[in-house]
Amino acid sequence: MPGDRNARGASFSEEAIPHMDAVYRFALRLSGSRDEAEDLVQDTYLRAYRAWEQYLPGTRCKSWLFTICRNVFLRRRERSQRHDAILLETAHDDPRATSREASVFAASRDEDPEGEFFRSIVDDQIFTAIEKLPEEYRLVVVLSDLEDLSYGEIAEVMEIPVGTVKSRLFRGRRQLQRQLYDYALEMGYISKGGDN
Amino acid sequence: MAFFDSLKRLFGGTGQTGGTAPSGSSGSPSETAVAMIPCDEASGRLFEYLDGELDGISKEEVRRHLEVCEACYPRVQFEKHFMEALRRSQNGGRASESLRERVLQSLAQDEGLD
Repeated sequence: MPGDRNARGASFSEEAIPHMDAVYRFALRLSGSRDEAEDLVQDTYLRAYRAWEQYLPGTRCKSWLFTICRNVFLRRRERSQRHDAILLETAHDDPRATSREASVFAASRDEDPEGEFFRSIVDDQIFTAIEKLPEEYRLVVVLSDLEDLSYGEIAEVMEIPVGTVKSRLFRGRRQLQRQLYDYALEMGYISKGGDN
Repeated sequence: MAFFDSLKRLFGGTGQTGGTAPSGSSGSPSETAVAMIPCDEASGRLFEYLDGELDGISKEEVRRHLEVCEACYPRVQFEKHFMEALRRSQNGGRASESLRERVLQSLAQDEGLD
């Protein structure tokens, strides 16, 4: 039915297309490559369009698109058998993680207790630091802190319990703070306690 | 803002780093009527509070604690500055015009194949 098609196209253009920047950013965080991210966005929108009848109007379209994007990414990765990049589900038990998550707040308490140094760090450096996070933390941090999804929405996109979202977000943020703190030290935005 | 912050720091908290918030044994009469959670409890729920994930009593408990606790004040500012830096950094990634065209073309092509 041409009329149905037109209506579908119009509602899709109105609700889904405006999220393309966000889907692209998410795809870029997933894949780490601009070319792959663009392919992911194209596939995501194609699948979303074909499944548009399944989208419930009034629910958050952005998180629905993220879910599709993540599934497309996982399927592609399975196909290419890049096992080296498979999610590190056991990272919670990684003993090295503890040292990476040691409280930066405690470390910077004497010199900069309110974390003013975060304001001096350029966006590119933050982008790089996020890229370095283990995938399971990176995606949760991106969805929460950059794309403003709720814990419940992140849980749906990532297919994990809300409790896991919380713990990954906590650990991801701590690791990120550590990286940014180390960078701030290197750049002289902050000095270690006792250095002055 | 700085004025209010100064007031909070002057009159609000315990002054004990890592200690507990006022628990009813100190402070003004109006403060003593409010049940306070300790610092570690407020700290444990801090991200959820800042993320807007708490509601009802849980949210109120954290809010009241942070309003008056001098020891927790720097921690809250620290996390806020961190989260602001992350939000600020997201402005970078945008889908290019060529990608937009490519997506729209593929949708149009798919529509034609239906």
